[in-house]
Amino acid sequence: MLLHLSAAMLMAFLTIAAGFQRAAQIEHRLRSLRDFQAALKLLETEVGYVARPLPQALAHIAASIGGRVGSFLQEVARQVDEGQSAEQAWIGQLNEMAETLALQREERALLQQFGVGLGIADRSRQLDRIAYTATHLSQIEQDARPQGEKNIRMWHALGLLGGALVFLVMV
Amino acid sequence: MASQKTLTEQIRSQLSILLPNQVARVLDRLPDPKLALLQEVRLRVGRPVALRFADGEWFLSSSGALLAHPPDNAALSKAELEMVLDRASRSSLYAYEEELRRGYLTLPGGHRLGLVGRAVLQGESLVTQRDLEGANLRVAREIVGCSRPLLASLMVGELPATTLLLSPPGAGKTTLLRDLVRAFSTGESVPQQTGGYQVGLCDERSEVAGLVEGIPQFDVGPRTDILDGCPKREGIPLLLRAMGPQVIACDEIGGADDVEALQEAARAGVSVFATAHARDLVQLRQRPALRSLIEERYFDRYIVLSCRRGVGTIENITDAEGHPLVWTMR
Repeated sequence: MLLHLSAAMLMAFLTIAAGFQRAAQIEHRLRSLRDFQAALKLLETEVGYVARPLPQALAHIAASIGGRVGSFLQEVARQVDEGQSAEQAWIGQLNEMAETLALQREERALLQQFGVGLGIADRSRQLDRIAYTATHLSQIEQDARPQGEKNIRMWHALGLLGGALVFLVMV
Repeated sequence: MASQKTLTEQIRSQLSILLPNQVARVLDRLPDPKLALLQEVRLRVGRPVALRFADGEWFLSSSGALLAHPPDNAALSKAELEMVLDRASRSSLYAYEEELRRGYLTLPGGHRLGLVGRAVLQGESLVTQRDLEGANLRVAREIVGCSRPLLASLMVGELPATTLLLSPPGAGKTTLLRDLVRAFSTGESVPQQTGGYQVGLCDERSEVAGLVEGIPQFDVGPRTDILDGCPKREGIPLLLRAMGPQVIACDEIGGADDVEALQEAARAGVSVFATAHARDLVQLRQRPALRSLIEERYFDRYIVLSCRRGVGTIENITDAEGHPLVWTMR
């Protein structure tokens, strides 16, 4: 009986965790979309006014933004500082951290496109690309946020209800 | 010999991380004495890479061999040139708009990457360059102590002699000027003097000190203040006002503005070390702005350099009237 109860509790816990995990993924995606926009806004200032070299600029932005996007930028800055091209470092790290950043195909393609030629365009073209990418990310976020927030609540609820149901059925 | 080896190793590693892989491999294979003669690496899109040594120019074949004539099938691609730019600017070309406008980037080690492409004009002024098609990597060398044999000749009483170094391009003027700055700054110039001179260096083209992110890449002495990237007509008065120098050094004078700034330094009682492009005093007199300086005996000494017996050959040292001074190479 005790073993049966323990198994039911474990299954219920796993079901709840699965629901919360799906909700967290959606939260991470929305957070990444917002943080990438904030990072691009700061990069616009770094490129347009401060003219700070990219490795220092990215490291500076990473410290301000923090979180997963901050870690991504920090790693790109480190690789560029070690002599890798910004394009290689940006795209390579984006592929590496795509799951961690919870990026979906649309924003991943947009950010990959942003990485092509990063750092070798002159100031006005670099600023144009930053503005273009930020506008599209904002659009993606606006489209994703209402449904995403509903889905977060739904997965939380589904997780809890599913867990309770599993427990009741097994007991 | 050991120091030459260290110098060539430094140059090899500094250049290899910038250049396309096939050029870096050639530099890796070059023996040290040959690498010591390397002056320039010329990169032009759609054409073979050329290496200019003190003893001649060679073209790179697709197999990495050095040929006397340009091969047909070893063209540098646009992507390879962009890679060089990417590495030289550390993926931050936007941060170097002023350098693009001036036409060169100063690199770690004091080397210079000259750049040409499509000019972007605003009215008649050059704003920047786009679609770069060619680069010239000029190898910088620091020869600490190369001015020592001359120092005794460069004093007038207890003051440093206002001196002009003359030569055609590539004969070692900047290298000698750099070491003069170092020697007078450290106090090597006068053995009995306890300290050196306060030197203000107006390094308009970043070649003398090779400042990269505020750090001089060459030894210019402990009492040298560096004003980097500033035109001489504004830089020399600024140094006079702000830093109280005893000696002002600047590279490549030529225009009327430069002459006016130098005269202001003389009025302030400051000695000047400068360089100018000219084969000799006769050719220098043909440049209207500089002729006035000769006629008013502005300079106490003229040092004429050439490549006759290798880069940095000192042809003669003359006084203000052009009379040769007796000096010995120690």
